Amino acid sequence: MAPFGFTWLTFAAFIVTGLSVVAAVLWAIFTRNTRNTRNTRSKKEDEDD
Amino acid sequence: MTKLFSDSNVYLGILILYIIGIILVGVLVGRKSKKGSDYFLGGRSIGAWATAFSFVAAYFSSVLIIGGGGFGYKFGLSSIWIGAINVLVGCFMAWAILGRPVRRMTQRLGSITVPGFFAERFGSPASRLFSAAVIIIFLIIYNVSVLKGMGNALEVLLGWPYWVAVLVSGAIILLYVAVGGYLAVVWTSFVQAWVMIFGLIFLTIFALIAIGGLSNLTASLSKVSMGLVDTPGEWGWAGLISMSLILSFGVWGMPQLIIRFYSIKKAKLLRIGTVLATLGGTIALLPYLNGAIARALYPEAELIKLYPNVPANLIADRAIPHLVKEVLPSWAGGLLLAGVIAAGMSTFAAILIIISSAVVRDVVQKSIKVEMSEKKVVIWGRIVSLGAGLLSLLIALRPPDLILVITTFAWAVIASTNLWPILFGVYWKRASRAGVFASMVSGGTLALLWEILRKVNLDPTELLWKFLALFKAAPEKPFSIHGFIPGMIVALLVIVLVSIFTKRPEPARLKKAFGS
Repeated sequence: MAPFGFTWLTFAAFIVTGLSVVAAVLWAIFTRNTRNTRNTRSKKEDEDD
Repeated sequence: MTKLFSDSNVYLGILILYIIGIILVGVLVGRKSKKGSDYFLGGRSIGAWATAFSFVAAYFSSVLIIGGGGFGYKFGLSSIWIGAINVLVGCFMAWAILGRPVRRMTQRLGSITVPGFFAERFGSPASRLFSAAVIIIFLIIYNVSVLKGMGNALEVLLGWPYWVAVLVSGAIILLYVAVGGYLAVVWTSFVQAWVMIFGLIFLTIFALIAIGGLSNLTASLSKVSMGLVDTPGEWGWAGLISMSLILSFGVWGMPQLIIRFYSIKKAKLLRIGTVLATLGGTIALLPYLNGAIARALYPEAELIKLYPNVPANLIADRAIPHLVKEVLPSWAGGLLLAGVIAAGMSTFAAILIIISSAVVRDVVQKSIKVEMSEKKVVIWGRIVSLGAGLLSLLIALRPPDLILVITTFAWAVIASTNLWPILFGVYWKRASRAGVFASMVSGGTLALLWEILRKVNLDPTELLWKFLALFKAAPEKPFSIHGFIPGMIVALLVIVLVSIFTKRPEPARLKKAFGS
């Protein structure tokens, strides 16, 4: 049994939700570090970023 | 001791405060619209917080709070999975995958509407017209269901006649949308998202106290049926997966949500926006959880007895309103009611702007080619918003049966039409004009026909199972498939295959769209 008497398959819904938030934070950090590495974008777009 | 104020008076007081606040926000921020792109897109000047939370508010309508609670009541804790997939696919993945490319490409192309994006990206005026027609027809119908949801909530919690509830909530939205345009929609939605968030959090806290915590909840539900605790439990995999997909993946093709990516001030703000929208989206789990709590607290037989006028098959929709009345103090009940109304208002308002832009920009200006000054575009934008809102309002006052049936799948038709053309438009250079148009027509039409056949008891799924049975490949327990699923699959195959076998897009158009 999972915490609070949930079945593991049902409790996994909460885990997926939590991981989605973590993934969003990691994605935000990751894209900050990798942006502006392509040289194909216009100067205007660099300014927009 | 008698209460100084009755519950419904407190509800009403909080609701009036909320409404005054919303009108003030809507009218004050919205006066800046001087040209079409201001009225329809807020001049691409919206920050990350307003974009993210207005997305959340437009995504989750009052139908989700009442209907999601109904699912939780009927099917138990497995329905929480729908909320979890909403967060993962409908919020995080939608923002991470579509946000930045949509923002950049629509700016390069100068498109301010979703149908306009199809015309400029693929050089296909036919796709613009088809998409605009689907948006106009089915979003007006979808709006009827949103208004009906708000009307029903006010009817149950305040005891207002249904028609008064629909007229009051509809009139308020029309006022601020017509006056304030997109900016008013975004900022009122921002406020509305917070009202929804706090309303749902308070409901969850008080409901959990009433049931004695999560452990008591699972213990009580398992006494009724283990199917209310387990996944997929009472629902079954087919129903649970298809409902999760429709309500999550469908977002990727809904113009009132995709437009949020167009209007954000800078592409870099999408990073923080993604985190905020994903966090805000977690409220999607709460209606299902509260519905399950209501099931543990108030058995079906008890609710049927309490609401003799409600048909037994619709009793689950009374779960949340009943829970609000029973467990929340008046002030929190008022806040939750304001949250339900906020959820409906923000969705309704977001849709009105999209309908208005589809009519004025895509049909009148670009397809019929009527010359208009920017000032006139704003004036006509206001008139059309008002007209479309009034039309939805009139239909919602006494919705014909046919309209009520269509509301259940309007979302699926719109998403099946727009989803792949948007995704392939920003990622696949080979997607051709013919491929996109064929995908739109086949996806939208199939989803529509499939659902119509299901409603008249000629379920195409049965034919499919009979066909698969010839090859001994039919499932042991046959189940019905929602039209969104075949619509999506066919639209995907068509866009890929037709694009491969038809003329490549012109390099100049690709250069303009992709910037390289």
